[in-house]
Amino acid sequence: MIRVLAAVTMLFVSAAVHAQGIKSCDAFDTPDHHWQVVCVFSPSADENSVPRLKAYLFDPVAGRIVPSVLADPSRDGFSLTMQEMLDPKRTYLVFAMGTTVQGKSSADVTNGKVTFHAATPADAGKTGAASATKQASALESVIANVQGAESKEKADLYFSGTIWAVGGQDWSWAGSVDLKIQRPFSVGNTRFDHQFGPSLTLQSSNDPSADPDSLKYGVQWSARLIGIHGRFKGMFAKEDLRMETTRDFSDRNFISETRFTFELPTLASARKNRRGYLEPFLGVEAGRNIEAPLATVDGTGRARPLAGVSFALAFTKVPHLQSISITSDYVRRWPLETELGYHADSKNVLHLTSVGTAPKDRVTSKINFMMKDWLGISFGHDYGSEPPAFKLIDNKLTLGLVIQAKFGSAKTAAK
Amino acid sequence: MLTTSQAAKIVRDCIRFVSDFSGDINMGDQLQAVGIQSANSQRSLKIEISTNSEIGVPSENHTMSTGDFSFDETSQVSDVTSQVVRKAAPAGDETA
Repeated sequence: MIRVLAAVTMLFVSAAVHAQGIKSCDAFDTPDHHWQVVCVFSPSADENSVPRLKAYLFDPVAGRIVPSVLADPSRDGFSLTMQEMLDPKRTYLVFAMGTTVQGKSSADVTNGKVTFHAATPADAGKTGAASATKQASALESVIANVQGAESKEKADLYFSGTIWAVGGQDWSWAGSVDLKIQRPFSVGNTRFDHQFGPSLTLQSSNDPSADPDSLKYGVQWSARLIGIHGRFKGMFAKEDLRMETTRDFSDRNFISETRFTFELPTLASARKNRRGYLEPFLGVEAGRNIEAPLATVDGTGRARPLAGVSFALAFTKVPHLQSISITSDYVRRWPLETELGYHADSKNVLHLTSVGTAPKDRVTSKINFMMKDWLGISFGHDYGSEPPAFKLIDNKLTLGLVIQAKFGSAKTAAK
Repeated sequence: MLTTSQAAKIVRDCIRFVSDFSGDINMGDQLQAVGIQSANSQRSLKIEISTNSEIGVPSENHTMSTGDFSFDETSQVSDVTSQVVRKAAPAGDETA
């Protein structure tokens, strides 16, 4: 009876205090039909408080604690060996108490609660485990697994669009779009981690000074060719077979890009107040022009060795700021065959800006000043040109407001 | 089925192997705070957890696939640990 009262009390208290929570609880139907419930803390508990850990599984429908034995308690979580069969169709609540986090007593640092939905034993036979995750349709599963990405380079799906209208005698509309889609699929389960998938990148604007006019679409393969050896953190290879074209398809190249990216040690400090990485890469773009706006380069070959680097650095716990982060991507291409750089004016007349094999640079950078986790300002810089038109973006500067927040959900409320 | 302790040890060992991070790794830490920041380092972490026979899931005689993971640099260490607990199946279990 006392344990039931404690359980009910904990349910109310834990809703208000989220300093320490149970990240997840998963129920497994073991071969001897002793259900095992495995729970993970977040953050970790203090090591010296683990012996005081107590945990229960509560059946709210029956209004009772299901008998269980605490097993494998640690600063990271615990297991409950159930003494009765569980009904996978029911919702159970798990709660724990007694541990501390960074010295705060359990009166202040209360363990959370977790609702879990155990799968049927038949499903467990198929999956090897009864998961706490709800069974969902394929579409729901895809949507549920969508996560934010820190930058366009890291995103599988990226869209940035702007339209604006200019008044006068006749209203005119203008706009820009920056779109990237890639969906890699892992094949096999080897240390190479082969991934295949389609890719599409579109950068376009009818602002003449900010229009890379570049559309690329094709298929990609990537893998980690060399694994980790001490301070060398591996080499990744990417092969991209694609069409690269202007948005009106008047200039089209069929390109095979091979790129090798080298992983260096990360810059994370043990105090967790500084982090970053530096990823140099080498590669080559080779192929053939399918159609060009000038007959002299129509149907000629394309070969562009390239090299560059991706760079990120962030500082946290900065005075008066939550964090400062800098990201930058740079690539230089060396065309071995004559290529054109040009842009079209409003009357669709082409203006040549470069002819020949001079190296072409492209650099994009962004610096974020975050006042809070969810609020900050960003400055961006964009310079250079992209194939096939190699239209020069001549130092485009951007200033933006960053608001990044996520609304509470069942998952976050459980913290 | 792996216990929390087993899964947490696998995740911590693999994070240190991938990032050389030397500080304490807490379940509440974001991956980027412990050196798993770039897309390639995240991919390496998935590979090492899934395939490394000395410190990964195979060291506990379990298997899982790199495709079983869903995390990014802002995910917590506990997210990865939960996924290991949830997805790792005993090796040789044909039904897994």
